Amino acid sequence: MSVAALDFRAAWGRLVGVLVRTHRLADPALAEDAVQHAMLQATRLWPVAGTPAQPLAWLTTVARNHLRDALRARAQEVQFDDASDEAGAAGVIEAADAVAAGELGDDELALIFACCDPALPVASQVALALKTVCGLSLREIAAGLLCDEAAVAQRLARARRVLAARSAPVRLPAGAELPPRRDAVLLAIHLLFNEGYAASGGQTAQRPDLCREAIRLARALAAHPITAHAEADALAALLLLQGAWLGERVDADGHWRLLDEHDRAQWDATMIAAGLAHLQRAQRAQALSIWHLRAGIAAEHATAPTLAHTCWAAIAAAYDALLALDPAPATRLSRAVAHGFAQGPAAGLAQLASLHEVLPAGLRAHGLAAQAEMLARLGRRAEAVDALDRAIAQATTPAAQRLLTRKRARLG
Amino acid sequence: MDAYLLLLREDPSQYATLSPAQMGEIVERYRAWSEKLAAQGRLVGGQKLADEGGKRLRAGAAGAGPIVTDGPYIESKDVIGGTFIVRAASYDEAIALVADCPHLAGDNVIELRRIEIE
Repeated sequence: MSVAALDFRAAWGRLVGVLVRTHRLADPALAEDAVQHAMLQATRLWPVAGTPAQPLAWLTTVARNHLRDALRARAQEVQFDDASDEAGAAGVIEAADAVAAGELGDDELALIFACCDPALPVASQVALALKTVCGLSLREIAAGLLCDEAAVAQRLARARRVLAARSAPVRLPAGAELPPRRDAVLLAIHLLFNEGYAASGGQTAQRPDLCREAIRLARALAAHPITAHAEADALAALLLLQGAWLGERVDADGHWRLLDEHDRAQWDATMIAAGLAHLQRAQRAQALSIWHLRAGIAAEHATAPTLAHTCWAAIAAAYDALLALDPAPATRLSRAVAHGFAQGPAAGLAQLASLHEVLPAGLRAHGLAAQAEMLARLGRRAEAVDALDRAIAQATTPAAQRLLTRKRARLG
Repeated sequence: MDAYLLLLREDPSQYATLSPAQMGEIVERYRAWSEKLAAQGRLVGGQKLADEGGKRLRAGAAGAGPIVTDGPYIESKDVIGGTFIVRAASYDEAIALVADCPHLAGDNVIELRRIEIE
């Protein structure tokens, strides 16, 4: 008899969230330990003894027993009442379909808000959310955040001390608490997506699983009655529209493709449609946020039939507006590129020239590559080759290095 | 057709740092493999041996009971974690059935033994 496969990653956040709620924990760490224990037991037992008929309920029971033992061992009063606990267990069984569909429940959203505590540095919020809600291993988090495992472990330990010092149980924030927390959550989700999207460390050009997690979180945030907000819709739109071309951004060998090498028919039409629907809902906002503007730019790219038909004037105008809200070097760099297409390479070059000094190390190769592109379009080939050579030298990942080397070869 | 016992030898500590996704993948690989064998009528069953240790018994002095010690299994890098029993007509056929068993990964070993029935 065949039992439907359980998505362990999706089940992780659900189980941790349920245990945190039913045991009124302020710090999710003990619940995470319990779920890790239960999943490990399952990984040892199920392969040879078979998967139980209700795998999620099995995991819940084992995790709950482990958590109670741990609470007793710490001589803590075990804070739960059986009624709410049984309700939690029943909820888990009912939630099996939702887990299979990748949906997030209230408990997981409450966890995200607990992790994105404004008292923590943003990078710690992201690391904590990846561990607690998404169930990524230290190694996966380290790869995503471009640091080593020991650094991630330290960061998590510091973050957990902050959380453990709180006595209030994890719950969804309400009232005046909600808006600043939501800003932090949106930022953390975007950072999570970017880590998957923009060539994390190592040899891989992108980590689509991190992107998928971010999309799942953003959509859940936008859909939930308490956390729903036009900015959450705008973020979901942005991530879906960018996520739509994940499959085309790299070739079969995992190497970057250039935008003009994409087969646009292969872009994920379902994700684009979902992204545009979120963008439509985001229009209820009273003011445009950075997420609205970025989603608008992504929509221009996603709906252009060919690269040559891209409406660069609209994109450049959106970057102008974005610059007012987010004057970061990365925004200025993208804006210069957009102007280079909208008004011609000379205009782009002029903006880049004033920008080069302020670009952080991680963006210098991008800046030089953009410069090379515009020089080439102006027919200044020797200067373009020189800029690409310097870009290759400054590239921070092997994937970026390979891409730039290929670009240089294309210049002939 | 004969029955063959698969002793799944492994280092249990290799599972300690897996992420949920990795654990899910392991479960799924075994599930697919055992369902395939079951559908072919080749899988008799599987059993997990508990990881927490076990006991070793040997004869004690005359008149006394056996000497019982804790099996030092948990620290060992070579533990029988579980068993499968499959049906096959020969060792060659059994090896062919086991060749794509997901237990064959890393330093794991499958010990294959024909069960003597007659």
